[in-house]
Amino acid sequence: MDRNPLGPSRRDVLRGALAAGAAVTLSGCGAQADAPHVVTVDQWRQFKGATLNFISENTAPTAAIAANTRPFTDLTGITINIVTLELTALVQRVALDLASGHAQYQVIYADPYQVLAPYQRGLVDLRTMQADPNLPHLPGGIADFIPAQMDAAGRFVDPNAYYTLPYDAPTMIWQYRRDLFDKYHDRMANDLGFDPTPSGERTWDEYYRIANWFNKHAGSDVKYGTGHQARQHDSLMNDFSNVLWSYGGAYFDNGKEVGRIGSRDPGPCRLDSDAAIAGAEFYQKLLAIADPASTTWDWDGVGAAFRAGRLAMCPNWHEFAASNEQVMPGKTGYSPLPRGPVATANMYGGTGVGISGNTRPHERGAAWLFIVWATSPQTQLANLKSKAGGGTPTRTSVYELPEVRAAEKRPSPMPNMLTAAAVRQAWEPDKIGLRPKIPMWNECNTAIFTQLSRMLTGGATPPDAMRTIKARVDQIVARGWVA
Amino acid sequence: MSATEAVPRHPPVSAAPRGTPQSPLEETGRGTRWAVWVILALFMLWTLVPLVWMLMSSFKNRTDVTAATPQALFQPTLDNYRGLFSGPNNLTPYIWHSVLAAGISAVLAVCLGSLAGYGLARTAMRGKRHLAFWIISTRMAPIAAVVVPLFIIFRGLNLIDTIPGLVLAYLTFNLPFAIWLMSAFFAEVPPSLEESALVAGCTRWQAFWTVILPLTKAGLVTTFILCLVFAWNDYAFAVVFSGPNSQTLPIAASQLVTQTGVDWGQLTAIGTIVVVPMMLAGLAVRRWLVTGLTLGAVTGE
Repeated sequence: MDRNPLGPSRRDVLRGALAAGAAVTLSGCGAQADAPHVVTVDQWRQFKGATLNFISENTAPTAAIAANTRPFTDLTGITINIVTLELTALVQRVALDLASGHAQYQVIYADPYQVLAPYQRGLVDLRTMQADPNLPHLPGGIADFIPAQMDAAGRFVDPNAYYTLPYDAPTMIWQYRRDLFDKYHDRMANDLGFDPTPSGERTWDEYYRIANWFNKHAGSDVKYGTGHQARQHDSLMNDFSNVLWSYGGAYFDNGKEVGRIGSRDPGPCRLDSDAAIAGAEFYQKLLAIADPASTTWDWDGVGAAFRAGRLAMCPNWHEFAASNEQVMPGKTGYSPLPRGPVATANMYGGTGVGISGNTRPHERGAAWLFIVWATSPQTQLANLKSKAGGGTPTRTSVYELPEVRAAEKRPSPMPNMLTAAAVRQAWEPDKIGLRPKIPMWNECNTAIFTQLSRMLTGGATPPDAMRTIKARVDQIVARGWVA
Repeated sequence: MSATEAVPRHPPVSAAPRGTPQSPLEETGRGTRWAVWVILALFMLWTLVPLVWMLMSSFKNRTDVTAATPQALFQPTLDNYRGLFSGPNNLTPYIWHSVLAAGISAVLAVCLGSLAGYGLARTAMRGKRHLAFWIISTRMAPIAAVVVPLFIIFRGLNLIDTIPGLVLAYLTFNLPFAIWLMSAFFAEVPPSLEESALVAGCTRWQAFWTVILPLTKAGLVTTFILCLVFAWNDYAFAVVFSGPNSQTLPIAASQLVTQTGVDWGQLTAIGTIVVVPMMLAGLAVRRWLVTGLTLGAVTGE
């Protein structure tokens, strides 16, 4: 076939296609526009017309806010889109977003261990926002946030800077069948030789003996005395750490500070210490009399088993109180976790909300408005009352409100507040349990719960498991972290 | 002489006499046949019980769905489905995004895969086998290996959080699969058929469109359904490339895994909504699907 000499050659067509592709690419790579800004005396309306994206784990406060974003839009004129993801997916998405140089998500739910520590350099130091005279300040300042939570969820390495505002505060406490403890109180006290009523003054050894007593004497009411979130999962590390710390063990030297403020170089792992091994041995002994299904449960599993009436007690996140009250109204009691020979510890799992460092100036201002509003006393109170959410406030002032105080007693319109007395103690600086806030925690965590799981299923002795974890964690930490 | 006249007439098909074995299985002893039936029954249970359980759980209330002793008899409720279509996380946009992204990507994969597969099947170029393997090997790469570079490209092209972005992402794994599968179907079609069409005056395109393509209907349907299922069920790409304006059904399901537990009732309801359309699509085209999955071996096409 003859080619038309006047028509485009194949090479011309290819060149044209390449040029068109490059043009499309370059136009796509153009700078993204900042949020609109209007000059107004009302600081809350200056970014009217902006749209923000907030990426969050599906937590109680986020569910409550997502159910009704109108108050924020009415106040500011800003539209807020909320994307909720399971935590692992959220971490992956946030990491990509921060690395890309653009902020698809301006507001970030920043888990202290999986987002804040590894990606702190991608988050805005919120002191700059609080100091900006053109932006509204935090009501009550940061001093209104519960101090241990402000440190754990908001800070990293620099004790003065803060990158997030505490947003939720799940904390592990002792949850027990109050009706059964009342029913068997005298018999148990007589048999065991101590008052079995759960409190922070009970010891883990007494917890073990109470669980064993239920196993032997209360089969008509519950199948097992205790159940645990001991699946090969993050939950196992949480459950074990309470015992580890109470026995005087620690993941690293200066463990309290590494948990509270965090560190990029925490030094050698100390899980091979005698105290840590003693804690592991007790944990193995405790799990041996616990519901055998414990090794298949995370917090959801143990919570469901407790609500189904299978267990007399369990350590679990305090925000499960709302579900407990829904299924077993009035039958559940809450207390801080038992103490060990050395200390007491209640694992804290709270998170903060921060602002992406990739935001443009007006976007950043709009994002600040949102996090100030989302953590304000009014919003936290509204979340507490929300049927879609619940959650627990992170501000001292909210716990002091008369209607919140009143909700600490049954019948409570805010069932999570039934745990207030327990968590108030659990959040005291010497009682809060803080896992290491280090950038490489996610990988260390996997090594920890994998070996713990081997220990519980007979694959390793407690000393072997602790030494293996130490060796693995030291390797991970020695590699360092670049982000 | 027309092509139909050239085909010799077969005697009409009638049922085999009673007792005549119709398959190798029927030629075996009673014990073997029983063993095969038992294995098939077990396999059916293995595959159906989880689906039936999911369907039943989607009609259970919060207490029944997590009861310590699973219950087969319960008071059914539509609360889980109602919950999915009301409140802040209304499922409707998620369904719409899934339909668009999976549907368009499957159609494009079949269209482009057919053209490329035909070319691959008929070309006599040097290194054809290597090229074919390279195409399918891109499908073998773990998603984690391609997510980051694709994210950077998509970010540059402003395709993050868009339906076209998701379609393109799904094409990255569906297209190699479609090319590979369709080239196998085209290779089964004797070249003499298209040669006859060319001799009869058809262009290459007409031969492809009017002769070859209709003969690979089973392949087209199989490829479309498989691509649709892959895209419909995708989570790994959706979690990275979607956003508030493009989230799909698997993302909606993951949102029910919350910090304070899993909403099993709604999760099984979403699972049912995800599974049922694909099952119906598979059932609607099962004749071609069975033929296609066996590359024509069942019906002798």
